[in-house]
Amino acid sequence: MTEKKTLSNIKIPEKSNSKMSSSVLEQSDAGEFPFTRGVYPTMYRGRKWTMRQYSGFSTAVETNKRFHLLLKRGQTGLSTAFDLPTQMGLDSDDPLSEGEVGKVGVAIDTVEDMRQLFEGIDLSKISTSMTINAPAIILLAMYAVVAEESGIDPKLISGTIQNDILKEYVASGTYIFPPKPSMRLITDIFEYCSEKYPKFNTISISGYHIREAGSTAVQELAFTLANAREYVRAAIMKGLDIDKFAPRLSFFFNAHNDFLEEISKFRAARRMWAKMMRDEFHAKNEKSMRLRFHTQTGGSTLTAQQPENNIVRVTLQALAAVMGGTQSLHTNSMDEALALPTDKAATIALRTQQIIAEESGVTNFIDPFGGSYYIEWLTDQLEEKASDLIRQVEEIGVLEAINQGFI
Amino acid sequence: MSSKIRVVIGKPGLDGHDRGAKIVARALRDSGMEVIYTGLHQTPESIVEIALQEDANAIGLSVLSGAHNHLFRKVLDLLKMKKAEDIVVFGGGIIPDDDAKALMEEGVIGIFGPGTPLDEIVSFVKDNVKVIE
Repeated sequence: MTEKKTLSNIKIPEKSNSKMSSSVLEQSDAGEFPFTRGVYPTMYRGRKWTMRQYSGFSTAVETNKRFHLLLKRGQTGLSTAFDLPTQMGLDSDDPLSEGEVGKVGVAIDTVEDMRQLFEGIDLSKISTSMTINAPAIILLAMYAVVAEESGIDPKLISGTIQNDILKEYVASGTYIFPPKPSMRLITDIFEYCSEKYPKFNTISISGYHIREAGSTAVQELAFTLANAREYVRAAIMKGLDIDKFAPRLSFFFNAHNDFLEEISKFRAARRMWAKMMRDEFHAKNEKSMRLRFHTQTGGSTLTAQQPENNIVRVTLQALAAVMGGTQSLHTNSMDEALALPTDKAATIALRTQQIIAEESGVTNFIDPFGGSYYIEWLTDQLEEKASDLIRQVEEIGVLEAINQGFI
Repeated sequence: MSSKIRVVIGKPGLDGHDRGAKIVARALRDSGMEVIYTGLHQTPESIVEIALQEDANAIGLSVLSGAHNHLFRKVLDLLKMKKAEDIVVFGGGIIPDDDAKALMEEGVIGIFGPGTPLDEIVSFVKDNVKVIE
């Protein structure tokens, strides 16, 4: 019999048997520590995930039109793509911005642009995710001003800033400042928001980009949680109370091709985070231990050849995210390997989520894969291998590991 | 002087996606060429300057941010200005067919989209880039 391995190179046992994993019997329910089966007791029976398609291009006015269209089609949250000059803290008329303005996202130079971006959208009802890292503090300030000007109680503003600089050094490259002052900006945001915007997610600690840059599922898990631990440590060093800021930390993972491995990865991530928060950082509040995450299907898995097949890939990846208990989801468009999505492709991507949510029946039972010999075994394997890798990172130190190119 | 092909792989603009650039750089290196990788966030000016100083025979540009029309043209213009048109330009990234066609007409010798086999890029460079002794 030929040897089989997961996409992350984990050797798969030949036969299924009940002694593969002790976790099959030791499982706690969803909503209970260590939250392997889900962070909430009711999961999708109570409320479906947020359908949050990443969108933004050209000017604030154009993107605002797209936002209205997406909401009309049944999307339940917004996710703003900023152009590269905005992500790098440059004005649209900076010489370095030439050719880049409004390309991979919307150009936001001023608070006036931000007002136009959300014109006619009730920010007390719609949560907004903003993919912004190095200058996150500025864009968050603009967003807060726009919301407060329209009379919304700051305590009701909900959404997420990505604000994860460590993975920018590792994988996606939009950094401005060196690590130490960047960590200061990030923990300042934790502190300010925990008082002022208690419903806002102050960071989205991202494995997505690490996976897209070529990592395995084990590396995605390990490096994301190692980065997360570094943020928690920095905040504690600053004197913040773990149970004040940790409930607003959120995560962002990739949904790649190996369906069962991905489901297991999300389950392992929850368990590892819960243990880290309780045992290492002595969090008391269960909200600090709940790993809430956004998922995007894997862009690098899509092919330029026979692009229609990408619809099938995205469907399987999205289903893995849902089976893994994601809190929000972006499904990629079939034509992403070629260009910015056409209107038709963007619609199919959103409809894919709606079909999973409304037609497939998979939301009716919480963690339906829980208790499967293979899934429980693989969850254990991923936890074990990722924990080993985290220990190796710890020996070097996270910033040094990034510096050396280990991460 | 060595008779190896010397290639500068450049990442112009603000785009941080460097997986493709690094993979192509490695494939060219492994096939025996001398490869200089510029790192992220370069300007067309800095890339052309690197190519001149390194006596490169070719520049390979990687752009996934949609700014390719501006950035590729700027590099071609600068090479013309510096009378260094013997340095050929090829590239890759998310570049729609129509744009790729237009850029090729203006002097880019090859554009490789997602899914291109590495062998194809290596053979192309070997066949189309000349070492000038």
